[in-house]
Amino acid sequence: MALSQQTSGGAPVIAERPPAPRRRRGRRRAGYGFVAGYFVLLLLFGVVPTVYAVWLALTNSNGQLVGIGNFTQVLGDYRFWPAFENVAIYLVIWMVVLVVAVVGLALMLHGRLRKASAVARFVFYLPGALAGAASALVWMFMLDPSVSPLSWLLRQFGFSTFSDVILPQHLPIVFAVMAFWTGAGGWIVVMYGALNNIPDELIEAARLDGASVLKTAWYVQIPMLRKWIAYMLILAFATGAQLFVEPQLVGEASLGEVSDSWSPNQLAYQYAFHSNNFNDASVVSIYLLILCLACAALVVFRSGLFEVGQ
Amino acid sequence: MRTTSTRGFSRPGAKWVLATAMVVGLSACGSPDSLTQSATSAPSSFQAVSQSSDSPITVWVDSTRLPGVQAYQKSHPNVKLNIVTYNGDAEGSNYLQTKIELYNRAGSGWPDVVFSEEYNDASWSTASGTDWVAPLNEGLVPQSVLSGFAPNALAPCTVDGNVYCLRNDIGQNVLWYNAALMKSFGYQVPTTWEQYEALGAEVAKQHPGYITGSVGDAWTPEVYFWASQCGANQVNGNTVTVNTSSANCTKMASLLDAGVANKSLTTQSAFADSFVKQYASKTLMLIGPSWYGQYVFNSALHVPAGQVAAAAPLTWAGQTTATTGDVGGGIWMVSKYSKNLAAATALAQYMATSNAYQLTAPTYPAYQPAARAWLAAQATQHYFASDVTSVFTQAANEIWGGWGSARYSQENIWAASMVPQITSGQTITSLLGTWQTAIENQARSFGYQVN
Amino acid sequence: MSTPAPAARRQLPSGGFGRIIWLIVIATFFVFFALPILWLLLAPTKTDSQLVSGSPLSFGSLHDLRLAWDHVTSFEGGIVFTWLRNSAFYSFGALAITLVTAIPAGYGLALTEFIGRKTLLTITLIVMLMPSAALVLPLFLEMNAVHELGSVWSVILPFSLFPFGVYLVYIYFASSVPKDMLAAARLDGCSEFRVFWHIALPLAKPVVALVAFFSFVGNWNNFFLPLVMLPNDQSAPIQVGLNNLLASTPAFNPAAGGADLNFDRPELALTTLLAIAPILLVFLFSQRALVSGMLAGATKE
Repeated sequence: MALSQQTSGGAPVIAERPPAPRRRRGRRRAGYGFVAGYFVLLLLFGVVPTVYAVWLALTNSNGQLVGIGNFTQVLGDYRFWPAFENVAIYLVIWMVVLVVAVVGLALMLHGRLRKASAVARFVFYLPGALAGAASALVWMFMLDPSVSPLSWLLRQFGFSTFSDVILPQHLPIVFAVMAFWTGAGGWIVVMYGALNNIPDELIEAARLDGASVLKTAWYVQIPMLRKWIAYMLILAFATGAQLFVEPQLVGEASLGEVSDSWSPNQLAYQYAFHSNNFNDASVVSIYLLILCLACAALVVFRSGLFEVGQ
Repeated sequence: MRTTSTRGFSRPGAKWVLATAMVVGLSACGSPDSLTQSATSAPSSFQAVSQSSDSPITVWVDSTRLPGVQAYQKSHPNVKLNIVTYNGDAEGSNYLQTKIELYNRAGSGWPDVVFSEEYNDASWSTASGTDWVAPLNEGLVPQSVLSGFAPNALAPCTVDGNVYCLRNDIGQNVLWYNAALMKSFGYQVPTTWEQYEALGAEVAKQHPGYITGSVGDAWTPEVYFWASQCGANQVNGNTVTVNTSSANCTKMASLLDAGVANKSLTTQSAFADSFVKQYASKTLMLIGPSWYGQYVFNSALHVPAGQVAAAAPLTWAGQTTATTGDVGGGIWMVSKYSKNLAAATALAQYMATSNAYQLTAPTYPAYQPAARAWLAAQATQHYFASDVTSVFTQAANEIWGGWGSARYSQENIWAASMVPQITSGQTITSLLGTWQTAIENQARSFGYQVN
Repeated sequence: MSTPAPAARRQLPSGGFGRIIWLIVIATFFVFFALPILWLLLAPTKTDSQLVSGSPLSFGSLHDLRLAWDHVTSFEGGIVFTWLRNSAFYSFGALAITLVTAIPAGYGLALTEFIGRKTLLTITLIVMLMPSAALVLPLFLEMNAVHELGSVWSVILPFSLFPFGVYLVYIYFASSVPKDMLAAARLDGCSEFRVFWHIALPLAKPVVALVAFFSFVGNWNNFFLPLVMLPNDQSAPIQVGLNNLLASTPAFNPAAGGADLNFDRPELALTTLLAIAPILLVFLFSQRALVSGMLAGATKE
């Protein structure tokens, strides 16, 4: 039986006979079997803690239900709105820079000099290996005009000390640069791999039709990356909204010149581990979760991420 | 395709509405935690668990104190020690509170003896609801030992008259100066704040680029405002009073502003790399804790031996005795859940008060007999231009007792709220209101009643 | 009918101008990503004073490098290597469980039908997006309830849950494997498991490599969960250890300045390099599998 050629979004030319009912049931049971192991882990270490966290958000420290009382009380905390404002500005910068740069760089690396691009991908990924404490040292030096290899660049902006660089109005950009430095490499690897899965015939067909490099990218490659870009959007928004590591690191490196509740996630940690208030920590986490789910729902709807076979 | 996905999402839609309605409706059951805790923050009365004299004890120390505990193990082989190194709860890490509060929730797992670099840790360790430390004055440590500590050294540990920790060391502030530079410039070492301010103005005119102090450190309040008896940090049980506009605060603020304006005071922290690059050879004076001598002048700035000296804390004109502040100092805490309180207390007491350990310690002991021995040993090191013994001892006795210790950190507040503004060029006097609001906000968010 | 496309046409954008732009952009990003790493590589060869006063990208001396190495290996009796061993154990252990659970799960979500498929996808998404601050306490209490607190399982099991990886596999199978191929196999009488094992899995090498890589890196770099679960630094992974080290470094913790701990920023840089070396090794190994991904050959006759 000849197989049909896969086209983007088209149905197979040869109609499938619907499988016999027994087969379908068997396939369904097999489906459960495939997800069983993961499902157990998800339940134990994902669902149960999340439900517990929701429970904490709805109760007070004595275990009594308070409904949305905690949710309204937290809104009045003097740190709540500044934290969300900070992260909102940060998100705009972060999302735009990440998506444009990752997709652009992946396309560029995929387009020419495959061997050299392997080196480039390795180098672009290197910073991603430096997580948390490991990068505190690096940033303590990079951001300090008196000792940084980039001091000429920093002085162009008029900064003469570390404190100048981390003034409150500069922080969203500083954190976006830091997060991009560590995060972009991994996503470039993912996008590059996704680009490899686009059949070469499609690219060749487009070139035969006279499309330029840019047009090929825009009309052929990017649409085929739709699901991956959607995934990246969801996670970029989530990691952006849940910003924690970068403000924490700069705070440590500067001995406290960044507030320890600059971002909402930091505020949640403050509630949990400084004020022994796990209820309000869960509340802030749920506010963040709602934001991230809203973005995810939007992306899922627009991109058909949950659909198979497109 | 689109319709399938919409259907997939809207089917649970009705369920969500129902769930929300239930949640809102159930809000009648209880009320959110009041942001203020109960009026008194005293810990519950102490009941020891069943004791066993050969039960092993777990001790948490940082890497600086580790050799001391290892030496104790060697000299006391019959005591079973389980030594755990951690980060000492260093500046801003909050590790200790994280772990202890998890143990509180789990009901088990507390270490027996803990060293913390932050004496503020005693505040939440003794707060009602989260307290986990044993009172040491009810027989565990002799009163004679407790009264041997420097005045106010045990203040952060003391709640309602009970002492809940032993102070390891203190950082009494003195006036550090470069004797060689002072001599070559022909300056006299100031003895009053007014002289200090005037000297700053002279230095700015005659030797621009040299500094007499720093306002960029996170502990600037403890150096300057504690010494001037500013009421920014009055803590009484669960009540906090903040008043940064009193005369004691404003006169210090204008002194600092004058220095920043003529650049004799730098806005950079003494621990910043840019400070080291710019001022390593240009630090004429620094007001700072007793440990600045070795940590800053020797290790960081590499000032050669024989140049650096310390002078007694400054008075205001007309004041007979000076008051000074205190920056840093660790504490030893004993868990009230320990199964071997005798061994745990013995270890804590040994580390805090014995000459055997404290002679090897890098910082000034809070226990006075140990401090005397420590000073004698320091005199043989020959780094300072003159003997610091009398200055350190005098300063240790002049620490003002009106600066409290709360569950929040004054250093965090100054660093996050004040330093960026000062760096941007605003005067401290104009920021006193901001400072007051920041402290009050922090205090409230930690459950204090603010007057 | 198609004329054979010359390979060159696929590779080079038209015109030298495009090439110059390409070079400038790639070179700029190259410098952006690589410069701090270069600094980190050179840092252990200098003393702390040289880091501050010397030129940032200068090479120090082999003698200082040797000194830094000695300081790192002797710190608290060589505990750095214990930390590295622990990290390897936790990361590989969790990786094994992740591969066994996540790959079939992603396949099942993409290419089989069962009731609750979309729900499972939604739940996975929610769990993946939940901020971890709220999950720490419940996880801690769970582990405490089964008396596994402080054991290796308290770290490995939560690490093994990798919804990000499940989604990667799901997207891969959903967009790259043609359903008709599986349909053909099923019509030929293969059981579902054999379809997965013999047809889908060999095609999934790139995404398996991707998931393995990200799972390993995520586990290796995870700091907060081991911090909460593990009782002491003997069982700590390298990230928790590095955090402890920050507190022993005078530049980060002024209170550590006076004790002669022989540990300053060059030693910290060297420890950092030790901490990231395994990740980079794993990256290099998985790169070859990551870029193969050629599906086109499978659908051709």
